[in-house]
Amino acid sequence: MAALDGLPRPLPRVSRVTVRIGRLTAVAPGSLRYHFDLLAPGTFLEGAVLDIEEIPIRGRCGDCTARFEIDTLSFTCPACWSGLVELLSGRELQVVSLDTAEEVPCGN
Amino acid sequence: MEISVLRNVLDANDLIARENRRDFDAHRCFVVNLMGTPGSGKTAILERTLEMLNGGVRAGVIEGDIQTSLDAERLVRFGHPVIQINTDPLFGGECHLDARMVRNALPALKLDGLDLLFIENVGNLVCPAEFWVGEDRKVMVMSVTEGEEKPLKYPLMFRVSHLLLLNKIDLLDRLDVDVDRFLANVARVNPNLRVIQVSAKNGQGCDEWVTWLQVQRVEKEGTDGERG
Repeated sequence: MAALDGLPRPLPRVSRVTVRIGRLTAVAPGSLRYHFDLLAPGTFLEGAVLDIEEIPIRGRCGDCTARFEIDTLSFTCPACWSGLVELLSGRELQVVSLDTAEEVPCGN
Repeated sequence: MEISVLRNVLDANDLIARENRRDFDAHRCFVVNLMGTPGSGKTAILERTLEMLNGGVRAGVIEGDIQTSLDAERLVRFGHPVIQINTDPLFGGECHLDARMVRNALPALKLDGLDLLFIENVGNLVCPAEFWVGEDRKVMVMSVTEGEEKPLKYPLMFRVSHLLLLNKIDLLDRLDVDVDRFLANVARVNPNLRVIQVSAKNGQGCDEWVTWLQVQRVEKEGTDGERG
C-alpha cells in the first residue's frame, strides 16, 4: 500500500489498475486477479478493472552479447551456450498506474 | 485521467531488508537464508552444522515456521542462540519469512556476539525466493527424493540461490534417482548454482558445505558487503 503515497486525498475512485508481473515472479496472475476481486469492494478500488501486463523473461549473454527470450526451461545462451546470462526482464512486480474516472463538476 | 505510480510492490520489504543488512554488517555477522521444500532436511542440516561449528565460529539461528517451536527446540542443545518466529500468531500465517518478520526477531539476538546467522525459512519452494530479508547468501536444501525435474518446475528458487545442498544421499542406493539428470537440469536453469551432495544423517559432504560457508564469510570480510 506504499503505492498510495502521493495520491490525492480523498482517494479518487479508480476505474483501472495496471500492474506488471514478470513471468519469473512468484505471483500467479490468476491468483492476484481472484484476490483483487475479493478485496476491492468497499474500497476506492471497487469496480476497477485490473489490467495485468505479463512481462516475458529476456536475457543478455555476458559472453557473446546476444539477447533472447527465455522460456524458463533453459537459462543458457542459445547462441554460444554460455551460462553467463544477465536477466533483462521477467522479475517485475510493479503497480504501473491507476486510471481515475473524470470528475464531473456539480451544476447549480 | 492516468496517475503514474511505477512502484515495485516489494520496495517496502527491500527497505527493511537494507536496514537488517546494515545491522548485520555493522556487527560483522554473515547471514545465510536457508530455504527448501518442507521435509528436505533444513533443520537436520543445521543440527549437523551447529555440531560441526561447536567451539569455533559463534553462530545463531532464526527459525521460521508457520506454527510450533519444534524446530527451534531441536537446535537449542548445541548451545547457540536460537530464536523462533511463528508466522501464524503474529503475521497471519505467511508461507515465507519477510524482512519485517526478521527485523522483529533481531532484538532478541545479540548480533555483536555472532559471526554467522542462519535464517531457516518456512518450508516452501515458491514465495521465499521473492523476499530478501537482508541475508548475504541464499542456500537451498533439496532432498534426493524430490525428483529430477524440480529445477524446471521452480526456476526462480534455483535462480536466486547461491548454493544447493542435495541432501539424503545416504538413501541413493535404495532409490531410482538419476542424479546426473538432476544436475543437468540445475545447470539448464542456473549454470552458476553450485551443488554439494550431502547427508545430514551421516555427515557425508558436510565438511565441503561448512568449508564453503567459512570461505564465503572470510571473503566478505575482505570486501564491502553487497546484496547477495
